[in-house]
Amino acid sequence: MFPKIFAALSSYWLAIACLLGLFWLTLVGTISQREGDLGLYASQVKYFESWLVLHQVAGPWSLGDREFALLVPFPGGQTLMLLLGINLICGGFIRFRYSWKRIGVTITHVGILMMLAAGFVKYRWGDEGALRLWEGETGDEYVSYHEWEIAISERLPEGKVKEHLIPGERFMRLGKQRTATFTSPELPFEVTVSRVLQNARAVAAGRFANPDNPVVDGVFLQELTASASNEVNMLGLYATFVGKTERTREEAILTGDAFVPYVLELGGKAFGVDLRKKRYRMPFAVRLDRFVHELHPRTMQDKSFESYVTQVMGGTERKVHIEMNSPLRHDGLVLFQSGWGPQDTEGSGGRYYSVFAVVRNPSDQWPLISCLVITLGLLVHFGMKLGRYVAREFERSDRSPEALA
Amino acid sequence: MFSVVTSKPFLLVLPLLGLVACKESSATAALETRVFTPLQPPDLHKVSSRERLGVDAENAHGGRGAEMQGEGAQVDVRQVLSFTIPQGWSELPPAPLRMLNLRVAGDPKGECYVTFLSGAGGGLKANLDRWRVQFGLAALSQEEIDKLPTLPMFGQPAPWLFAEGEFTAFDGTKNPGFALAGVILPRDGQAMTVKFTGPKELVQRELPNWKAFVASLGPAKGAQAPASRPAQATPPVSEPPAKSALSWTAPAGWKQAAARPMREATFVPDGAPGTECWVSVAMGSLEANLLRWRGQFGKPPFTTQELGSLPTWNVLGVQSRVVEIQGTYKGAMDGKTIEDALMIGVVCERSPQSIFVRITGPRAEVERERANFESFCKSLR
Repeated sequence: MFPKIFAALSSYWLAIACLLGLFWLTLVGTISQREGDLGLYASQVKYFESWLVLHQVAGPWSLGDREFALLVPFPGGQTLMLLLGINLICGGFIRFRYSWKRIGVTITHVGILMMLAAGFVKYRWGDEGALRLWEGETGDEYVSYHEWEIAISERLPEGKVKEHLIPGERFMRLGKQRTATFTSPELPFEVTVSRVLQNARAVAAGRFANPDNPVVDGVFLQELTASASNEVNMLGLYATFVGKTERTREEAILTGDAFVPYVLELGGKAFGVDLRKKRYRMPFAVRLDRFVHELHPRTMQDKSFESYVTQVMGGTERKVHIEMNSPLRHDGLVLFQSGWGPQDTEGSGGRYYSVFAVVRNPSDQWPLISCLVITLGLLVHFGMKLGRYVAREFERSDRSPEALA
Repeated sequence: MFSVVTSKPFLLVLPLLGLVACKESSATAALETRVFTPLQPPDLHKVSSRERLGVDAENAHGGRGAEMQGEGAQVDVRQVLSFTIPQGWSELPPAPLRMLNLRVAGDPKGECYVTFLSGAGGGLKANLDRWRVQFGLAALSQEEIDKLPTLPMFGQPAPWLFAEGEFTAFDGTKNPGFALAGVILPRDGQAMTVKFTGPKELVQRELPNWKAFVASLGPAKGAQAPASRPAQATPPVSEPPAKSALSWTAPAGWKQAAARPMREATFVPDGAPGTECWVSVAMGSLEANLLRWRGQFGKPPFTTQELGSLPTWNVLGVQSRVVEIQGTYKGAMDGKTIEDALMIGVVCERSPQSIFVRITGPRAEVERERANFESFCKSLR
């Protein structure tokens, strides 16, 4: 039984099937972003970060109030990449018949496995977001595109701040019916999260408003249709704070676009509660000194844009020039130039802001190394093949009648 | 007890209990913490929910995400507008920032929507340029804007433009072979726009329908079309329209103009054709409104000290702040600029909605009406 399973896992056919499957996923995943209503983020989650995909091949058809569609199950990106990795290990290393003649193939397999591992490490331990800085502004945190968190902050002596963080994955999927309560021994209260709306806006309860959620302090959350572009969806929820000893109770609406945190005063301390896109701290700060952009003549299309920044770390400063294809790399972090604004600086006193896409990728250089390893493996393999061929030809020519004569 | 737990009926019920638990119970879990020295200490001052969430009635939303989401009034569109949807077009569910969202001739690639912009988003040139930028076209000069054709909208001529080429949507999607027809009506430093985009053939084919739709736009049922010029104001009445909960005594010589969205009443003083006075009821905070008013004159916001030293009048039993701003006024409803203008505004802060009374026009005319304005404000009841 086991030999049969092993043979199947290490077969060429499985490798071909996985590669074809990944090709198909890439195709339908890309098409669904444009033709479907999924958008980039949902497409990535559905097709590439999943174990199983239910792909709609026909429909939907309406029957009364209900809609039907023909869904076909297909292995998701995670399944296919895992299978491909297992196949590579079983076929390329365990079942592989080692010999010096095949050292090039072995090296190539190592390179491909590194490439797969780089993807997994980035997916599992990497993160990414954006840092927006106005000219003259300094920042040391970047903000996730999709992940949310609730941060409860309190001031400490010497200008320090302590943040108690509730990661988004622990409340994002609660929906309108379920609740979740969070606490910490260091906090004098518990916070209960309820009515989590994926896209919502705070609306004043006035004559134009028809509240469909509870009104708190003259404001209620109005649920909006979630956009396919996930990054523009504005999370909203209701939070209830119950004191542990004083048994006080406060309610607040939290939205992702509040100007300032909700402030809770309890036990002689003030706590700021903020629903926000997840923030990642950098081991250094970046100050935007100057932003420069150029347009194509007589159009509003960007020709180039670049940022002159100062990297500040532990009292030392370093001038860095960031532009397209020339990012700032430091300690596993990469800052790419990705955007700028405002289009019209009339209201900003002539100042621009620059947006950097920040990626923390522990396997940042692995793809490069794996490409070099694969290149080396192929060079060794085909070099040896060529060497053997040339040697054979020499041997043949030495034995030819002309040579013997 | 043990036998009960392991009995078959109990085991059958167990998953159901689990479902119930998933539905209603709460999970308690410890929090992660981190300590660091921030570049800026957090602001831990308590403010009202409206201030914290950037909520007021005229600009229903404007928090941190406003830049990403834009601006728009969060109102039931039929309470504000009347309109006729062309044959073959259909109304889509409300969408963020869109007062009215339409599907054009059943084509999912064609969309037409009405937007209400306030503040900086309301400038004529800014909006026209934004549309042209979406097609990779250069901004229009003021001379070119002045020469744009107009369409009737709310009974007033509103400039419109047609653009074609590769259309870049808000999400960055590129759409080659697209076209845009857009019309904008600036009003009181705000603006209403009707934007129609889609494949070029669709836009060209449906252009007559779109123009008819734009022409059909007007104030909500029960209100009359606004006067395009103060000279066309209706005869004077001393009592407000029935829909207003307020009443007042209009000074002699003041003529009440036709009803307009977002206003309780509008008056035009005799012999002052460039001046108008109006009353509105909204949920905007004092600071938010003063910021907008100052912005219409290109002035920076008041400092806290200046705010505190503003004079007050007794309006509706409330000591209401009186604001005077002089300079070049760019918030006129027809989009025109008034040089050497004066605005006197009164903010009567009440809960849940405040009352705003303003008189704006050339300085000489407003100075002449100063006493009338004060008596009018104090007559509110």
